[in-house]
Amino acid sequence: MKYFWEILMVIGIIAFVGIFLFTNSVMYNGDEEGWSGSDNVGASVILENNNYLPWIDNADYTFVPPSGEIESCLFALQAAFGGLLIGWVFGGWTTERRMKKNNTNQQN
Amino acid sequence: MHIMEGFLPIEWAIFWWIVMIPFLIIGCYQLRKLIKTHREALPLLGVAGGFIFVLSALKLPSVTGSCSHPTGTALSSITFGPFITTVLGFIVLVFQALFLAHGGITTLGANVVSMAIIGPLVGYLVFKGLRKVNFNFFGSVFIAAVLCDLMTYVATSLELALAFPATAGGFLLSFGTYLGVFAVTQVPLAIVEGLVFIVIFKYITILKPDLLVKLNVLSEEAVTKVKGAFGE
Repeated sequence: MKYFWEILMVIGIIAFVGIFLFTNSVMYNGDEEGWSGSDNVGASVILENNNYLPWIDNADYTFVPPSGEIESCLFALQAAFGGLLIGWVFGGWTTERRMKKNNTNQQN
Repeated sequence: MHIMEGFLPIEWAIFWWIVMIPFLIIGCYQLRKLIKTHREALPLLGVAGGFIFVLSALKLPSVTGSCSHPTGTALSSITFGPFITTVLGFIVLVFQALFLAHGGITTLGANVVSMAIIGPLVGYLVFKGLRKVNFNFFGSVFIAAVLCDLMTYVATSLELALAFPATAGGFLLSFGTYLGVFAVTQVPLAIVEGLVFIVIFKYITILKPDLLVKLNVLSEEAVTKVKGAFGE
């Protein structure tokens, strides 16, 4: 089957989203705020169990996104640049292959 | 997977920096060699870096009610090896530490070791091993990509457990706690990431098989066999 892996990937993604929607509907009843980052969960485990105080913060030497919106903007930019690069290269490769095919067709 | 700034005691922060540096140096050296000898592979290097950028920016919700991100290191570690992946991962993590306040300069060593050294290294070795015993190409890619992702989070748990062993249960108990926070959430994400990388490798095999042959990912016969399966 030509598109076996693509179909499998889409099924995987749909299953992943389905699990999320299901878990979300179960969790919705609780008062606890869900879906925070696992980085933050890990950090709070450290704070609870070890009486640990972070000794340095990003704000001490660099820029910290002032709000969630700005942070997600920067994350979106990061993904967009990566995506541009991927699309540009794959686009080039696709065109290259098409031109090669056309050339061999003309010669025959 | 990012250990937040200040959340590692200074001795552990320095320790992981020291672990990271040799990998980074070998990576830079290999990268220079690659640029000299395989210039035509540079677009693929861009794609590999692009995937680390895109996938590590995506915070996806997962089963245990927290969000986590894939790592995207599989493409670069399978094609270019774990050392060059260290360099690419380092660049991404510096960007995130400086502009996004995700991770920090002191925890950079630990974060690079987990995302750009241990994960890719395990993925690379498993991929090469499976290919040696002639395991199916896409199956090997899947397993390698899943391990690249999952081992990153296992490594983060290990780093935190070493730095913060539980007072009662010691290292193992606290390793279990952090595995619960990081690795369990990651399992479904790792599986989806594995499926995505299968498709990416399918396209690269169709579009640029000569690059994969040059980088010793696939032999010529294997390329013909894989392409034949898609009627190319």
